[in-house]
Parts: sequence; C-alpha cells; structure tokens
Amino acid sequence: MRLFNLPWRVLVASALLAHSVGAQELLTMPGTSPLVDVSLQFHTGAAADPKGLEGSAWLTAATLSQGATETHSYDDLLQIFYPWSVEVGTTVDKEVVTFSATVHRDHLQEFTDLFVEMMTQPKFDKADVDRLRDKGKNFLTQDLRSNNDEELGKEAMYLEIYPPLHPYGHHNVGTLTGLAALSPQNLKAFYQENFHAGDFVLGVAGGYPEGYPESLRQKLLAKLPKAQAAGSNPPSIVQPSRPDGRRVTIVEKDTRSVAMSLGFPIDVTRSDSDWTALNLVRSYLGEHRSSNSHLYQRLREARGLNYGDYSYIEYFPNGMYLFQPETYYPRSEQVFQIWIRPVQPENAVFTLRATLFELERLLRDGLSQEEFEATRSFLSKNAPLLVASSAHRLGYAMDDKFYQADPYVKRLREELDALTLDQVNSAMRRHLQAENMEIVLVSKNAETLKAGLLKGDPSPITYNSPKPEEILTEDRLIESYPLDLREVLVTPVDEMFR
Amino acid sequence: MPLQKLLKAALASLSILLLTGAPTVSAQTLIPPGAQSTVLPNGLRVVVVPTDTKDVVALQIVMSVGSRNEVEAGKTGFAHFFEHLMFRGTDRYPSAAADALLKNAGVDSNAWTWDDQTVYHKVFLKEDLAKILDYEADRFQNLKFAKPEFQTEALAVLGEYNKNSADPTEKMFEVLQNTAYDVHTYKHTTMGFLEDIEKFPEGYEYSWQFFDRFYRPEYATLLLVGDVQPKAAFDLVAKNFGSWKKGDYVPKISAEPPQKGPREESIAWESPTLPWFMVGYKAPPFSDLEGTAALQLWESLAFSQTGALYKSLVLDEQVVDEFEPFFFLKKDSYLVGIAVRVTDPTRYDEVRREVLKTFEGLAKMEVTPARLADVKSRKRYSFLQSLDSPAATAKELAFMLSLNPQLSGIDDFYSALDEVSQEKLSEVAQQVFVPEHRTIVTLKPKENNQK
Repeated sequence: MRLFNLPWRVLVASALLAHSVGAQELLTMPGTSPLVDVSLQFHTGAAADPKGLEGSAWLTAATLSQGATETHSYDDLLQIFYPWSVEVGTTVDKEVVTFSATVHRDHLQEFTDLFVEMMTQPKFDKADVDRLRDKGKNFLTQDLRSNNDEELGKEAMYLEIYPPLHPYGHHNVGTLTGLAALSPQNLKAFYQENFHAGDFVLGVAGGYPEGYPESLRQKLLAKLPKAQAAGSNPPSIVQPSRPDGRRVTIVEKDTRSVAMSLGFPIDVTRSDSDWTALNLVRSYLGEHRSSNSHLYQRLREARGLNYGDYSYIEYFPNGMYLFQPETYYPRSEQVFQIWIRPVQPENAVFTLRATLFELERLLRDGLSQEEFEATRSFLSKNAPLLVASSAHRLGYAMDDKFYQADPYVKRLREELDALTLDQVNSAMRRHLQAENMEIVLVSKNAETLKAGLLKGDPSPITYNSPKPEEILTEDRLIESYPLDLREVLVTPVDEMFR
Repeated sequence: MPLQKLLKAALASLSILLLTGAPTVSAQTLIPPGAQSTVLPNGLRVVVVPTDTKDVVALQIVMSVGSRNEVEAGKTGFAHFFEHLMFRGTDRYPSAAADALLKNAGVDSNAWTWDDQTVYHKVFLKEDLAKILDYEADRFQNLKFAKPEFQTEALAVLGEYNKNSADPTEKMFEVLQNTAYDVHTYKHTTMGFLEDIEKFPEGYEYSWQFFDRFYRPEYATLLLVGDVQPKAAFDLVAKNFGSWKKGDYVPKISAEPPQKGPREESIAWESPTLPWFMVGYKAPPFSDLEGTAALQLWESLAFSQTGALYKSLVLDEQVVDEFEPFFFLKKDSYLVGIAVRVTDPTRYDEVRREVLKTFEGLAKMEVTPARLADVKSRKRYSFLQSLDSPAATAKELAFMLSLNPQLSGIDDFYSALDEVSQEKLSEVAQQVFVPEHRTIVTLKPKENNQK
C-alpha cells in the first residue's frame, strides 16, 4: 500500500479500522484488586469536528466530564467524588474519545449511577461551557505557545504534515476560532450525533462484582442518545501526501534554546504486519526517555548537545511528563517522528545536521545483528512492564480492539521471536526515508537562523572538553552535511492554532 | 464518610500483618500486606513488598541527599548533576556494558532528584533481579568516570535547564525560594542557580568528594516491590551491598531564622503570558507530624477543587484557570502555598486579595466534622489508589521512606492525619498563615508583550 506523493484529497480511505468495529462492545478483565477501572470509549474525536467548529469533540467531552448534569452541578459532583478520590479522566484524540476512572469498590455503585448520569444527561450549562472553552483557549495560547516549546514544536510539526482540510489538520483541543464559535447548542448537537448508543466500547477491569460490566452496559444503552442512521459516522481518514523535500518551519518566539521535531507520515499502524519491525527500528533509534538508544547516545551522551533525543512511530503527546506511552490515542494514520530536546542556539544547525546524518546512516547501513538482537530483547522483556497496572492493561486491550490486533504483549513477543534482521532492515527502508520531511524549530531570531539554514555554510561545533578522535572525525562530516532544504518558513508563534 | 466505614474499607482491602525487623502487628495499616524491612550491619535499610503482579519487580534506591545537602557556595544543583553521573559506568560495568545489560533485560531505568532526596528507579522482570542488584551495588560503590565525560554530562544538565526554562512555574519557584530563604539551602531549587550550572564542568574533583560524602549506606534505603519474597531478597541485597562502606559525613545545613515580615519579588516574562502569582508561607518540617498533617488537610479543605476558593475563582467567576496548590512534604521548613494564573488581567489585584484573604483567614474558618471526615477519607483512598502496580507502589513508598526510613512511618503519617482536630487546624493556621511568614512572587509579561 504505497500512498505517498499523491494528494490526500483524492485518495480513498486507507484505513477504516475503528469504524468497522461493532457497536457497544464490552471488554472485561476481572482481577483481585479492590480497585475497579472503568473506561468508556466513543468512536468520535477531533477528526469529526465540523469545519469552523474545531474543538467540538474536545469541548463536548470536557463538558461531560467537567460540567453539570441535569441533576447535579459540577461542584456537586466534585464534592461527592472527592472523599472517594475519584476523577473522570478524558482523553480526546482524532478518532476516539475515552472517559476513564478508577474507583475503589467501596464506592462502585454510587459512582456508577453518577458516571452514567454524566455520560447520558449532560446539561451543557453555559457557565461550564464558557469556563472550559477558556481552558482550551488558554491551553493553546499559554500552555503550548508560551510555556512548553517542546510540545509546541511537536504539535506544529503535526499541523505541517496534516493540512487544515485533513481531518487531522487541527490540534485535538481545536482552534481558537473554532472554540470561540462553539455554543452550548452546537455541543449538544455534536453529543447527540457522536456520543450515541450505537457505537461505543465499554471496558471494565479489576475487582468488580459479578454482572457489573453488563449491568453498566445496559444502563448506558438505555440512556445514551439513540444511534442515528446517517451523519454519525466518523470521516474517512486518508494519508496525507509525504512532504516534498525537506521543509523547515521556524516557529518564532523569545526563548532560551531551540526545540526541534522532524517527521513524515507513514503507512504503518499497529494493525499492519510491518509494525513490529518498524517498532524495533524506532526503539533502536530513539526509545522514549531511554539513555539506551542510538540518537541519545550520539547527541547527548557523546556530545552533550541536549537532554535527550527520541523517535516515534505513533502519536505520543506529553512525552516530557511521561516515561511510558499513554493509551487511548489509537489512529488510522501515524507519523514517524524524531524529537530533539532543546539545544543551545549556537548548536542548532549542527544538531539538525547530526540528526539527519544519523537517520541517513541508519537507512544506509541498517541495524547490525547485535543491535537487532539487543533491541529485540529489550522490547520483548519490556512489554510486560507496560501493562503492569490494571488501568494500563485495560487501555492496551482497548487500543488492541481499535486496531483489531491480538493482545499487545503476546503479539509483540511472538512477532519479535519470529523476526529476522533482514526483515527489520527492509521494513525500515520500505517505510522510512530521510529526504522528505517536515522539520519544526522553535527559536528566537528566526530570520538569522533561516538565513544560516538556507546558506548552508559549515556549522562547526566546539566543546568544553576533549573528545575522542572518532567523534571529531564524524563532526567534520556533520558540520558540512548538505541540508538540501526545499524551503524555510517563519511562523510567529502568535499565528499558531488560530 | 464516617471513620468506621473507612477503616473497614482499609481492612477489607489490606492485610493486617506488618513486619519490621521483629514482627509487629497493626490493625489499621495502610502498609501493603507482607511488607518487611531490615537493616544491614553497614546501615543500609532494605524494604521488600511482595505483590501479586507476576514476574514484574520494581526497585528504588532512595538516597537521603538532595539540593538541601548543597551547603557550599557555588555548588547549587550538584546533587541533581550527580544523579546524572551515576549513569556513567564503573570498571566492571563501563558505560557500554551497563547499557547492554539494561537493554538486554528490557529495564525501565531512570532517576529523580528533589530538595531532600535522590531516587534511582528501575522496573524489570524477576529473572533479572540478581543481575540488576549486582550492577546497582557496583555503581553505588565503584562509580568511575573520566573528566571529559563529566564535562559532557554537565552540558546535558544545562540542556535540562533549557528545556524547563519556557515554563513560568519553574522560574517562579526559583525566585520564590531565593526570596523566602536567607541561609537555608532551600534558597535554591534542585536545578540550582544558572551561574552554578554553567560552572559544573569545573567541578570534576568536587564530584568525587560529593560521592565520598553521600553515596554511603547510611544515606540509602533500597526498596523492592513486586514478584519477590522478602527473605530471599534480603539475602540477595546483603550479598551485593554488604561490602558497601559506611561513611561519617553530616552536612551542616544552616537553620533558617524565623521570617520577620512579608517578602515580595516580581518577574518580567519574555514571552506573552497571562499574569501569574505564587504565594508561599513557611511551614513546619516533616518531623512535626501533627503540624504537617494539619497542613495536608488544609490543602484539601481550602485549596482543592472542593474548596470555596476554587468554586469562586475558577467555577463561578472564571477569573483563574490554573489553580495549583503546593503543600509538599519536606524535611525542613519549606513553603506551602499556591500558584495561580489569572485569566482576566484587569482583575489581577482582586484575585490576589482574595487568595491572601483565604490563607490568612483560615485560622478562623469553621470546618464541619463531615467535611473534615471527607478530606481524611480522600487522603486514604488516594494513597490506596496509588498502589496499582509494582512501579507505582514503589514510587509512593519510596517517597514516604525518603522522609522517614521506617516503614511504620507511613502509618504514623496517616494516623496523624486521622487525628487532626478542628482545634489543631486552627492552631496551625494561626502559626503558619500570617503575613510575617509570607513570600509572594508575581510574573507578568514584559511591557512590550502585554496581550
């Protein structure tokens, strides 16, 4: 399935995974813990936001979990949940919206009644909507634009890859214009159309009483909006065209250092047979928050360029706060991404060159047998650690359901066992490349940086300590590595997420 | 919720056996069932908590050293920097060999440093326990790195400072601590002063002095949680760590004299931002368990999402969107307070007045018995909910053990919470929440960035 280099608009949907999942599925994972995990997932999300009303899915979901019901104000709900230490969490991604909570079985019955009420009788009170709209707006303008250059860089890269007309073409929280335009009436309509009894997955794990999951499912079925015959299906998600050449966007803001994200779309998700091989390449190149992977070793350990350097084949938000991936972000389309943590401005061009140099070298030389085996062993032994909590087990199982994949750990370990080095290197060359990508740099002095990038002069680096000859020799190659940039654009940070 | 029901809940879900050295039995413990602890002859404390998660083991090595121990001028941030250096290898496990070991075993490995502690944590499969302990025991005793590697690692810490620097709350804590303290080491944050971070590359010799002082068994607690049996685990830890030599260094941390009046500092932020402010009051140290417990309850009573202030500022008036109380547990007198982001800059002064009025009116605030029972319930259930995997349990316990290395300290802390009365609440509020002990930091955009 090679969809690159075609405009995404003319493509037929490449993956309709979520949408073929049957209605009202129930997933149960009984356990001995006194805690019970409940997750309710709807097959809708930011990809279903109507044009001009971007933010519909996020604001609707936020109002359900942090707003009044027909019988309780939000403050009432907070007061009731507080002594139980219960919160209803919400994850809004492109194709699914998930509500989840962990509750001690002492409070399960009382919690369940309120949870059903929150999901089925939301009030869409104007005061709640206004408060949450502000929260969304401030998330975009303050938390992303102002306070977190790394997440800003990543989200900006996604927006370069997915053009505004693509269903993925805006942040999960929406756009500033979309959020401003949403009325409680809009949200009510979005809720009726998308959070309905016809298409949800309910997951329950932990020490729940017998019959509990089915009784909760029945309550939801009886009270959720009725499934609508038309207009309720999520849009088809198709792959965007791969960037033509290397495009750089400098998001300009006043900041100490330069944060970088590089990426391009790939046609591999957890549903595909190449996923495990590509996942191994990802882990080898840049296992998340691990000092034990290639980019980190070359850029941070050997050169001290920054705090860390990682790579991804799946959407992974909030990486700076997490050691392990979060669940409930399954997607029909994914991106290969490299995250370079902020570097000193004087080293920015060198670091970008070093990153591309390493990616190109990996594509050319492939993994060695030893690297392949070590990474395979890492992934195989690390997999059970990802699902050591009941909430994570449930999350992975729900993601498996989306991808129609076998249970994550079992599948990963079996496929890793059967994998060969040749298969890994050829999967890598099938899906990854270094010529066409979106590169986002968050930086001050954008015009100077732009001129430097376009001019392509060597960017030698100096160190505060002696370096081995091997590194210095490599540096001489890196400092004049041809960037071959197709274009360099500058976007003032204030223009992001409009 | 009534206390009786609470205790019943705790009993229903938790075993009642607690062993610390000699067996002791507690009827209302929050300590996970089967937990045992021992102390090796060299002073290393070992805690083992078996859970029913098959094959998975979480290890935490808790060092009682943090930025609080940085008593020498020009060396702020060194405890955190040293945490980085602990990953640079030994003769037996040079960097590459250590990497290979951890990679082949699929280990999740990392560490964190704060004011009072540095914690090294790993999660892995049971089959690799012996190998991991061998590696850990070696690096805690025989760490070795050359000067160039040391200097390179110094740059990674500067990179860490850089990646944090876009976040206004990081800067506000930096200024808050610097303003509130004159002599105690809480004057600087764990990252340290930027000028000291920039001088790290010159501190190679000092780093060995630091290792020699603090990386000693009497500063350490080793915690294992998951698919492990206490007896076998104790033996394995003793085999590997028994040779670790005890030290004798005790840092002289200057006591902070009582604050005599309100302090205030402001930050002009380079990027466009909504205005923030942070207010902190000097709190009793963790060793004052009753005072600490009362403040923990005040956080819930007055500054949680169920408090009147949240309702008024966030839900009803909607003039605040970030409402972040901080009531951290610290060894010495630290600051408790709140960071607030104001959504309507024209109402900034009004919000600030309201927040200060709330803090400084707590001594007279009436708390109903039902409300008090609710927040006590919250604390217990929140603790129970944090024990949902070996890694999460280990993280929770490691933090508590870093403040009080006795396992029984967990029950002491939760008992103290249960025993706080209305009178105690008022008494503590009267001591703590007064203008004399207050420090405020404001953060607003530079004039040309007002938006």
